[in-house]
Amino acid sequence: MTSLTSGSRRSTARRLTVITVSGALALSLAACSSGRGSSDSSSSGASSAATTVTQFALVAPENESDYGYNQAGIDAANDAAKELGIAVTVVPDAGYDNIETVLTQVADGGAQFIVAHASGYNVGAASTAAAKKVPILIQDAGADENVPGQIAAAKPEGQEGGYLAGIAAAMSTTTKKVGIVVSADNANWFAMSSGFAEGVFSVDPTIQVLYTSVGPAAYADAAGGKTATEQIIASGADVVFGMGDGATHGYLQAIDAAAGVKYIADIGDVTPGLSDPRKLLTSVRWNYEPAYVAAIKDVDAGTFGTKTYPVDVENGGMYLQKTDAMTADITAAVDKASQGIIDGSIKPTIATSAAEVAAVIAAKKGA
Amino acid sequence: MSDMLSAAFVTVFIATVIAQAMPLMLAAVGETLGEQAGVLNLGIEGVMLVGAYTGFVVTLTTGSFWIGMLGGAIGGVAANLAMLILNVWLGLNQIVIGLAITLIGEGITSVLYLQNYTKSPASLGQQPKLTLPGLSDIPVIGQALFQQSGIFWICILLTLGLAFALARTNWGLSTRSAGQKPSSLDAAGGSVMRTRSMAVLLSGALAGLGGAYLSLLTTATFSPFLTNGLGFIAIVITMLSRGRILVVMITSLVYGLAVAVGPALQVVGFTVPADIIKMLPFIIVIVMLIVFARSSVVPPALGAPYTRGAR
Repeated sequence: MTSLTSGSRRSTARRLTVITVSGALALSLAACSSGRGSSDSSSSGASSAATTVTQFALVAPENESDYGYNQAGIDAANDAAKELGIAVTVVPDAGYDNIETVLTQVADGGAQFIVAHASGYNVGAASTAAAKKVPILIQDAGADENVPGQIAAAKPEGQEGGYLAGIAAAMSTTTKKVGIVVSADNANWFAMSSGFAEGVFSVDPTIQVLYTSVGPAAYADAAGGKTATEQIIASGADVVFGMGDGATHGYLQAIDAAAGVKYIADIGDVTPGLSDPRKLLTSVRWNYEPAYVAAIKDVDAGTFGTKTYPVDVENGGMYLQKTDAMTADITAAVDKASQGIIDGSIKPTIATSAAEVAAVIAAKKGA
Repeated sequence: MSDMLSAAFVTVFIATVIAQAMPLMLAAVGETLGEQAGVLNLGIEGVMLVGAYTGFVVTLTTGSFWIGMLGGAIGGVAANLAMLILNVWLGLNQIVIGLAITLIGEGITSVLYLQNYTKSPASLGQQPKLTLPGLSDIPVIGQALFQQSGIFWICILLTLGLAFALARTNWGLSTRSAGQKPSSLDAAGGSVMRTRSMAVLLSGALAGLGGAYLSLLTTATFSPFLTNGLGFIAIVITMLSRGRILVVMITSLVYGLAVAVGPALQVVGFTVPADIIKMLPFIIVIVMLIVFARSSVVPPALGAPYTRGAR
């Protein structure tokens, strides 16, 4: 070490070290960027308004390990490609930065239709669609954002799925307390929460509905998710409805550790994440496949951008996952409510803020 | 609301405060040792992540939380080797190296996790609790405080031992000298290089332990960017604590309280916007910075590489 502390040898060592560290950093960053997923694009050129789609792409901020939103989008893209017999390129882990660049690269890679699978992509998607003349399906936007040939939105009706889950929760609880845990302020989750509360009260207005959200890192806060779920269980809830991306990992750990508590997941299938799958009461599954298939057919027909694509109970986009814990009684009640939603006799409230969710809970709406 | 504040709820609340505070405390104690020796490690976030990931993988592989914690400590030491070699031995800029370690730690652990566990996510289950006879039976507090895992008690003993060693032993005096006036340590026959090297390695081990505690005990799983800035909060707490490890412990508990109180308020009936809950721990840290900033004293040689005979 003494020899390294003096003269030119030290300078040489510094230079070598700096070069080595720079190289390692560059490799590390390159490795990170490779997480954006594979690209199997082989053709080039953008589609025109009425081109038959033979290849499309889905860009998602995270990957399918979230058991939720990203998993649902990726699975639906693969299913839609299979159903239509076309190719799909999935780009997971795209994050939220520079999304316009990512979408442009995907368009340049030959995608004739793109699903921008995050509402945070909507602005960048609109710019890309206009610049590259590629139709892009955005998320959670109103019909006023539709642009013929360029932009249309997929719109989950989360309140409908939440309502069905509320019925299942109310029929399963023995403590007469059920809990809702969300990882962030999110329009879909507010809607699902208000629907859930109304579903609970439609079965038994005396049931108490508890509501909380997780800690500092929001969507990805696994530690905070575990904490919040533990607290809601400690308050007496024996059925917990959890909504979150990475935070779901924490919810599942708390559920795994608690005796006699059932879990209701959202969007995806969390069974692999539970050591005891019997703890899963159900999951409000979101199936984007009908929306994607309809959108692609509209691109083929040249009518894309003229309507919104719902993800709802009626088209099979919103349903409860079948599990052993879903007894025949619960299934029958859920099926009956589904019919009510389809025929319009049941219209769950769409909350748009935590305060509105709290108001629904306080008023015991739906009772 | 009052019916929500059951003994079970309060017990879980206290246990949550501790679970959130422990990873931060271990990392901040590690940072304190480094800073007292004159090494500012901005890479502690990355070191924690490496410790969290290695602890997670080792526990999954061996089935032992104890070996997992050891793996986390070794992972932390390995990650801090970059600081040891590049800064302590070669005298490169501590800030640049620290930021590089953070970026590399975040990148490597994310890539490895996504490569290995995306398709088959894994969880660790629960570490068996150590029941202390008599104490564990105290209502509410007994279950929250005295039914912790053995790892919790080892970490507490380790922290208290380091607090004593730093304040009362020759090793502690040498360590503080390396940060206060390294030339004096050198003149007295001590080795600044050896002292700083030992401090950096210990700092890495403790930050790695903090990360492993987070993934193994607090969360019971790993996810990319699990620490969410905890390493940077550890740096702030270290600065505010002025080398006093007992203050580090108390401040970490305040952070744990801030994290736990948000969800708890909502559960008992307060409508608190999620944004407030997200901000609360950081608001408290900022307030502490404002209140105590004037009394924050860092070692004079902090951040300065030591070259024998240099002026």
